[in-house]
Amino acid sequence: MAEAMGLILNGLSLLLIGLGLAFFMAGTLGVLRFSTPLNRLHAVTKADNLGLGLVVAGLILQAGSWALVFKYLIIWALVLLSAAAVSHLIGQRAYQQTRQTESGETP
Amino acid sequence: MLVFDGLLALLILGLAWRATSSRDLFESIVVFIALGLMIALAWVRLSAPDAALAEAAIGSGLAGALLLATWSRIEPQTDDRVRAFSWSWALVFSGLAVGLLLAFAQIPADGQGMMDEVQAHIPQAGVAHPVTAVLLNFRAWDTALELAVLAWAWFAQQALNRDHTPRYQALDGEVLQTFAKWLTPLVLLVGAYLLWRGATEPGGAFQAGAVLAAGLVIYSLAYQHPWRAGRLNDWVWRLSWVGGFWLFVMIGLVGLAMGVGFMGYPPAQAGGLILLIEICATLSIAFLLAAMFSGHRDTETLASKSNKES
Amino acid sequence: MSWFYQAAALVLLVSMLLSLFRVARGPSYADRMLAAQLIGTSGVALLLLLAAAFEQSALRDVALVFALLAAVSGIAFTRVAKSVKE
Repeated sequence: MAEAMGLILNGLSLLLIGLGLAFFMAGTLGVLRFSTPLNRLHAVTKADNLGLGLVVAGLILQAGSWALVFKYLIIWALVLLSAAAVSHLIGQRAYQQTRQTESGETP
Repeated sequence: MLVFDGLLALLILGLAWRATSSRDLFESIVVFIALGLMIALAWVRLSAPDAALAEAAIGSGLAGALLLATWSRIEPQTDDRVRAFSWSWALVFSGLAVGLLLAFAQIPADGQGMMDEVQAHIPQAGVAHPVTAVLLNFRAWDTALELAVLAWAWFAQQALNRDHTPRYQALDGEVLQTFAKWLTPLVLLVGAYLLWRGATEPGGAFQAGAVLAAGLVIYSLAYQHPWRAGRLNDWVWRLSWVGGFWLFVMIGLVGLAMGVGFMGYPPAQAGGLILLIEICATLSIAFLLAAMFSGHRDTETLASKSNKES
Repeated sequence: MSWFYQAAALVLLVSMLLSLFRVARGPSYADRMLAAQLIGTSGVALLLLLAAAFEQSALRDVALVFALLAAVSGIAFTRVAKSVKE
């Protein structure tokens, strides 16, 4: 019984971490392929929030103690917080710049 | 993991090349930030989490902010001259490379180093983590001099850079301020955690100091003014900026007087003394690094400025 | 599970390498900075995976510091950057 549980947990971890990696890859491809800075920013936020979130979720299933679970959650929350703030700020700069180039082209 | 390590090594070399050879200063800075990250990963792979912590905090966090602040102040420069290949310099650098390779070949391959000796003396060191024991006890002199170097860098920067603060750009909304408000307590907590953990696990004064400094930098970025002394006297702050080193030396002299040698501690008090030194060193490092970023202004200059404005 | 964590770490390193192309190509400052942001987050995930693969809990502290300080350079950029590329 316990063995079966372990197998199921392992399978779930593999699935979640794999999904997380897929999000990281998708984010990277978006950063490379999308055409404007704001679109690229959109791709980055997906990788930041969901990619890391899924990897952390996969690792939590393997964590041996509640203290470790708590630590994983703190790290994820920190990245969520700072990614949200920094993406917003970079977005402001990118937006200003887009507007300036547009108004430059059509005087 | 061989593929991982090989790729990491190639990445580090490539990034280092790009950071120095790029014609765009801003690109160099961002590449340098990424380079700091990769070097931290390399330390992790070399089983040196202490160094990885310091590199993560200073290399990719603070150094990036410092370089960006500098970049904002200087005129954009492009250097499009084609450089002639110089045989004499090529010779000098290949000589250096050969010397380094020879030195590398001399390192014994079994790699135990001084570990046995360190482990044998751990019971007298006052801390259980071998790296902290070496840094704060067996080789305390080195660490004290590192603090002196940091204070020296701050003095030099003050001489060149007095009364210059980064030019801040306006931002819409309150996002940054709110973020700084939420982050500051977390930074304090993590800094204290790293300092405390240094006794038994990787961590310690430099890492904790760098983390606290980053918190101060974020605060000063959010609230637009250089982080400054407030109501407390300038001298108190100056003392805490350079105090880490002098406290270290003072305790070292006490050790000499008590007959355990310069910078030696009596084993019974070693733990407490190391903790005291580490706390002061942490604060000293944090203030010095943060002051390098935000540019310290004396309260007199601030007062005279506000008088002029009013 | 260790083999899987290691493979996942390698995948992340490759993805970081790809993001570096955006750092190199730009063209705007914001582009380079957001790529650096992505590299930082990938670094956090990579460290957590390595910590699990080799059961070194100290690496989680490194990841914690990464997560805490990833914001510093991004914020410094938005605060001090000249907003337009000359």
